[in-house]
Amino acid sequence: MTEPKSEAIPEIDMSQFRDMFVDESRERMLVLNECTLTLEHTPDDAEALQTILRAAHTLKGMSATMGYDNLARLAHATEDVLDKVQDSDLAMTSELVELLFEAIDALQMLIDDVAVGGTGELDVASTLESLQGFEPEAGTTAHPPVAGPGAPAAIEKLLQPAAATVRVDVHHLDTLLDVVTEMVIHRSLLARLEQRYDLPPLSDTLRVHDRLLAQLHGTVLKMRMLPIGHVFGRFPRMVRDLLKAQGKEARFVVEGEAVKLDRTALEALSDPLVHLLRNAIDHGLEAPAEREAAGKPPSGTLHLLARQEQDSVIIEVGDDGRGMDAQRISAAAVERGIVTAEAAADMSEAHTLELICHPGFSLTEEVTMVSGRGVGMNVVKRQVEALRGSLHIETQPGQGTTFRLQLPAMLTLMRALLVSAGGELYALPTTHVEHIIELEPTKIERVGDQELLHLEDEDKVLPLRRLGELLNAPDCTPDPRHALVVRSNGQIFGLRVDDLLGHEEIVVKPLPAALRGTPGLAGVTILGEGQVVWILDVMGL
Amino acid sequence: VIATVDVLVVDDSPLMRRIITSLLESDPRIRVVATAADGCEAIEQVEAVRPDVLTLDIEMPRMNGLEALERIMQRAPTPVVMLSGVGEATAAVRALELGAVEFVAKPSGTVSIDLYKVRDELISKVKLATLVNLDRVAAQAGLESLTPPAVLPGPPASKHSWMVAVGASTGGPRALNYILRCLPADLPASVLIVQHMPASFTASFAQRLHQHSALHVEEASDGQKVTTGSAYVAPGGIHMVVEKKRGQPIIRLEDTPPVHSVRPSADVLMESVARLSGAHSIGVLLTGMGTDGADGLARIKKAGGITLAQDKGSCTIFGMPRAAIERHVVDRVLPLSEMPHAVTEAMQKGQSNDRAQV
Repeated sequence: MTEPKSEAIPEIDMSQFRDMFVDESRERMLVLNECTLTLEHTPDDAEALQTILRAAHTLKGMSATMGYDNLARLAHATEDVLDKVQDSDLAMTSELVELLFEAIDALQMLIDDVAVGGTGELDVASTLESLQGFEPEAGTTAHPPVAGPGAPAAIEKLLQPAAATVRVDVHHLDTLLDVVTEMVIHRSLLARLEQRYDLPPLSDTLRVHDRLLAQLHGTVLKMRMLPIGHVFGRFPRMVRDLLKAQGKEARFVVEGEAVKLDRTALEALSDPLVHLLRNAIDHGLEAPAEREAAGKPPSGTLHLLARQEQDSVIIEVGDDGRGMDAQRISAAAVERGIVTAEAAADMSEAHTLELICHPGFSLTEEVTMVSGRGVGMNVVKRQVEALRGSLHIETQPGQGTTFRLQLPAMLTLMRALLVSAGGELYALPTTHVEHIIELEPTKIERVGDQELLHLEDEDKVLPLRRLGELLNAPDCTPDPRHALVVRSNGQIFGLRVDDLLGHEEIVVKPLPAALRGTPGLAGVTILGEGQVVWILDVMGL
Repeated sequence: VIATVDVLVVDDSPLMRRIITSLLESDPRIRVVATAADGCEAIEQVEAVRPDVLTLDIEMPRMNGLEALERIMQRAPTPVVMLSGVGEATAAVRALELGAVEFVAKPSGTVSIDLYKVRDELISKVKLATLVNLDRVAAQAGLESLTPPAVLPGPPASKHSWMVAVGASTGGPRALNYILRCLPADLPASVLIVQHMPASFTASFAQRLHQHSALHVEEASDGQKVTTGSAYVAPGGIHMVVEKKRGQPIIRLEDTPPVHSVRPSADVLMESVARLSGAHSIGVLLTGMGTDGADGLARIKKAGGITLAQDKGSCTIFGMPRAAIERHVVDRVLPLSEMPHAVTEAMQKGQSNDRAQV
């Protein structure tokens, strides 16, 4: 072997790999967390041990290659400890699990430092010492506060990209989607030309073009979909820590990690889910003694499930804790002046429960404690609705509570009701529309300036507004013939529109810069015929 | 020589695949044509894209690098450069037995390794790998299981002890493994070995040889006494020589500059053996790239010792033996299978010469 002659080889800029390093090491951290939880629950799970060893090993190699020496040392020490455990054929002890979690947290801290431009040279000396001083010996077998997730390597498998994959910068994906969307819109202009000139060969070509374009559009949307496990993966550890801190016990059941969702939705979902899980542990789940007193097993169950239902993804966060008391919520809401006593009395239970998402309600810690549900539910609801999803609450006093999030699987496609008002076309997300009503004079009451809509079936009176006026549209029809019953953020009202044009699957595009921030407008879409349609932001009306 | 080298990069980490790719492609003659994330994918890709060389990681999910290597060598023999951490020495040495051509230590935590050195080593070894005699590599893969060599009978005892200096590079670990398996425990000689190999792997390599050999084999340490029936592997990164201390041969490890760009150097070892052991020296030059050992064999021959070189047909790379043959300093050119016998035979002849002289 001869040593290489130094040729003029270009320098390598390692910083170009930093984002990739951060992404991949965070995935490895998920695996580490997940498998350590598994080992806490099933101390002799050899597969989980092997998986975690490999994760530490890879993290070590990656860090050393990138020149993050501190991180490499820590990962190496972690790997050594795991090696000793594997070699000595010892089961996990609870001390060891704690040590591993300490190491994981320290690694996480260093990776976070790299993520913000550092080199991970933070002080982790005490963790490093604990790891290096570790000697395997017979200890007490781990006793988990939480029953860990089932399959140990599930998350690793999920995160392992399928056979032939490439990593693509997210911005490229976004650009690609924009371009394809433009193409879909432009297609409608072609359709008009087709009609005008009526050339059979042109029409044939356009048929083929349509099919290819639809395929392209579908593929681009699918490219943006990621398994929801990317978000779920970090919850088992969080739940374990919260339970431990509060001295509560529960089995945490996670299902449906493979269900896919648009990546934008995935990112935006993380915080609401953290909030719901935290609330379930803080307020839903009782302490073991309280549970036993109520005749329940001391250890509860928390669940986090995802499933696909047609065009929607359903996510459930549930507990078998104390449940919520609708009457007390109702009373508290009246006391806070959120609803009148009469309105409260009229409310269905589902609507009553939704009151906890009212900003005025959930700001109050005292009420939160009474209702058994948390601060910030209004934020959760707003985030879910921003994703054009909806939030449903079910509860049984003494039996538990389930929060059900329904989200469109493909974020950029929306099912909408097209309406016209003042000569313009508008699209309303169907998730916000409860009923469509043909207006007859008997259904409208007038109180001063205010129109009220009388719903006979439900014996209800709702405020009635005119869409054209709300948006200051120029040519308002004097008496619009149709009304929609629209619900948003706990509010319900009637909306008068000139005409209904039916349901349509629309592609959501952001507003042009000049119109951004216009109250009541959420986006824009262009119909097949080239017609511009404004997408309404019901909350902003 | 091929215009560009098409490489398949196998590593379970997407980041590492990217980095290895850009390290390799910083050389205009190397092109990464595909990557694979585990052993199973590697096997598929080897058959699909037929790369000139593949770089192979050891620790991977589904199928690890060693298993993949074994199957690739059976199905579609391809030159393989192993990439492994310094902590994986045992596996790396095993990989060489399974037919990997070379290996490169990748940065992995305890020792900080300069990435530029890794790059240069990686590039040169990938290019080197394209030069190997693939038929040999394939035929020798699994050699240990196919033809368990017989241990030769020991030569008659003698008051003279011999010194056998062996130099080897690419393909050397398997050739050495074969030779040491055949040599008898009562060999009236000390075997001194220079195998070009990264420093962190020589100890594991020596240990592996020890398991297979009737001789006692160990990694040499400075000041160690040299005894017969033993073999000493020069540690990576430092020269090994023999000298006399109070009449007793000992090993010296010397941190002097590389000779012909290598350290340890077979030339340096052989020169010291020739000086110390004279006509009772045997120089053996095995497979490998470069010219190391040619000067050394010349010294041994000049001192009256015997010089042997591995033939082209059995070499993974016919470089070092060729350089020595071209200088006319080689007594016998032999296939690997005949090399152990040639060594013991040389001692028998030498012994009878001794008696004749008495």
